[in-house]
Amino acid sequence: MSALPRMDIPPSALPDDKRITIVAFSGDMDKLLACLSLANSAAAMGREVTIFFTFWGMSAIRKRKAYSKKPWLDRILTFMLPAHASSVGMSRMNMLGAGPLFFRHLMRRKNVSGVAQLVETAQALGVEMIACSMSMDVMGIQSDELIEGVHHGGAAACVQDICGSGTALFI
Amino acid sequence: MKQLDYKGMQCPMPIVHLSMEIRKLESGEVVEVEATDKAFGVDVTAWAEMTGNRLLDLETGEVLRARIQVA
Repeated sequence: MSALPRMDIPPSALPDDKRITIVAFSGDMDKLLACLSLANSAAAMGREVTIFFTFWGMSAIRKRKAYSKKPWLDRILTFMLPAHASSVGMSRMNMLGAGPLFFRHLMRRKNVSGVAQLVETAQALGVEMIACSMSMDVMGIQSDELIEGVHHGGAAACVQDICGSGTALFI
Repeated sequence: MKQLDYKGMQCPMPIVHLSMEIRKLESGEVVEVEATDKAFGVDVTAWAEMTGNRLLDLETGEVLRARIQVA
């Protein structure tokens, strides 16, 4: 396919440095903790924060697993993916799930908030959460398997948020 | 003066809770926050700078104590 001619677009507004957009791609507990700690802090500092959850990151905003009315391939995926934010694995030292157990124990003892709690406080602070509709479709995740208050969005909406934000992170 | 006790909380919770409380207060009110999170000093300084709230003073030590005037 030959390259198409360039598109003429209207001039865009300057990115707003009070806005931060984060793409939460990773479903690893450690990376989600980093992502959500930053989102919470930014919101606490009065920034307008949007998190776009895509692919493995969707686990952070899942509340349950549903099997009924799903094609069997989707059911297999549902079986293999974490049911909610409290059962995500880690990027290193996962050790078949022993790592997260160990870390969650340590974090509880040291009073460090987990992924699920950080999602809750982020919502309370007004962080906008968007679920990638394509990821939901590929992974067979239905809207009622996600927590309340999550909007749906696509890549174009995400690009618009990124272009309008002073800072954008991909975690 | 309103007292906020965030001793034992870990980052980012002292700042998150502080932000939640500040929103309920009137402009000009002063709050005193106590925290043991070692980063609280730098964090509350950055928070005050970026939110426009005034950090009146900051005591460091085992327990960090900050007095903040709501913007």
